[in-house]
Amino acid sequence: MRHADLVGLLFRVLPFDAWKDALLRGHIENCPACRSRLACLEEARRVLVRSEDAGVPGGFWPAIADRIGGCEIAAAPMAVTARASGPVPAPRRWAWRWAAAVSGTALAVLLTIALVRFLHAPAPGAAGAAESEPDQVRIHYVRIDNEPARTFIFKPHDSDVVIVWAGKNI
Amino acid sequence: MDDNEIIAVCLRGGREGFRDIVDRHQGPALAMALNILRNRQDAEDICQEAFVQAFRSLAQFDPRRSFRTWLFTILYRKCLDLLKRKRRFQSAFARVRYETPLKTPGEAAPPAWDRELPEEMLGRLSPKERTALCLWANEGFTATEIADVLGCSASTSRVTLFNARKKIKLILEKSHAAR
Repeated sequence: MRHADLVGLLFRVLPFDAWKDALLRGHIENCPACRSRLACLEEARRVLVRSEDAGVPGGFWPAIADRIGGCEIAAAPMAVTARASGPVPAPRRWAWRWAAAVSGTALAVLLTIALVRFLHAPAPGAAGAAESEPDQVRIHYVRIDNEPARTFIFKPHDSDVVIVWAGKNI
Repeated sequence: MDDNEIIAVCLRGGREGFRDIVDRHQGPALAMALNILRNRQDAEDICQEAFVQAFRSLAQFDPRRSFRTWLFTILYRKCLDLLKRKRRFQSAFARVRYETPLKTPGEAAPPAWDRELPEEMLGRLSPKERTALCLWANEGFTATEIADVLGCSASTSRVTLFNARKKIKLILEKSHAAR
């Protein structure tokens, strides 16, 4: 019985009808405990209006005859006529589902990329910290002993002093 | 004559042949409309509209399909349209109840469906579930045929029917326990 409860819970949480259907076919149709939770044919008939109980009124056909009396059978459109003689096309009801699935996946990928970029972007404080460092410019045309030297120019923010430092490449 | 032979006659201009079609399917169609709409007058009107539309569209009917399934598809869509219209214009639609048919003086007892149908039973089901249950229990439709009428996949129709059967069982058990 616990197993049946588990299957019932699974049926509730599964998101797609196709998965629920697989569960129905795989388990519930063969499980007496689960089947006992479903109304059988007789029970369903008990709550439904049946055709023999519907009580078709006497004026049913005359009312229809009046309404179709003045109308003609509409000619079939060309597409329908062609279909009647050719092979039956596959139902197109899946087309929009595929379109929805593809667009949903694309949206999910875009959102993931945006999220990853957002998480890996440098914090605003980090850029400010880099700017507070003294400017450092490397120049390449200073040579020491006819060899290119490492040269730096420092200019602290709070001073007008410019320090040029050159060192021999070792 | 089967449905397809009668339809062929109708398409050749034999309008009276359509009466056989109506006679054959009016009971199940009216029962289905009653189960979906839960209102006698609406059900009769919608049934007539469905038959009239079926007649007008006979040329579009594919004889390889079942006429009954095709007719029920038209009827189901018309019922849904009516429910949508009602929902839009009547805020008190939830209180729609079964209406008894107009009685003639000679009539003694109300029909069985009016006597025995508890109001809450079908009201707890969605129109789609009511349709699936009705087609399965009354007409013996398979999941694929139900899917044709509902305009969904066979998987969805099976799940819809499963939910309907489960709800009905629960309601029946509760009402049985209450007695």
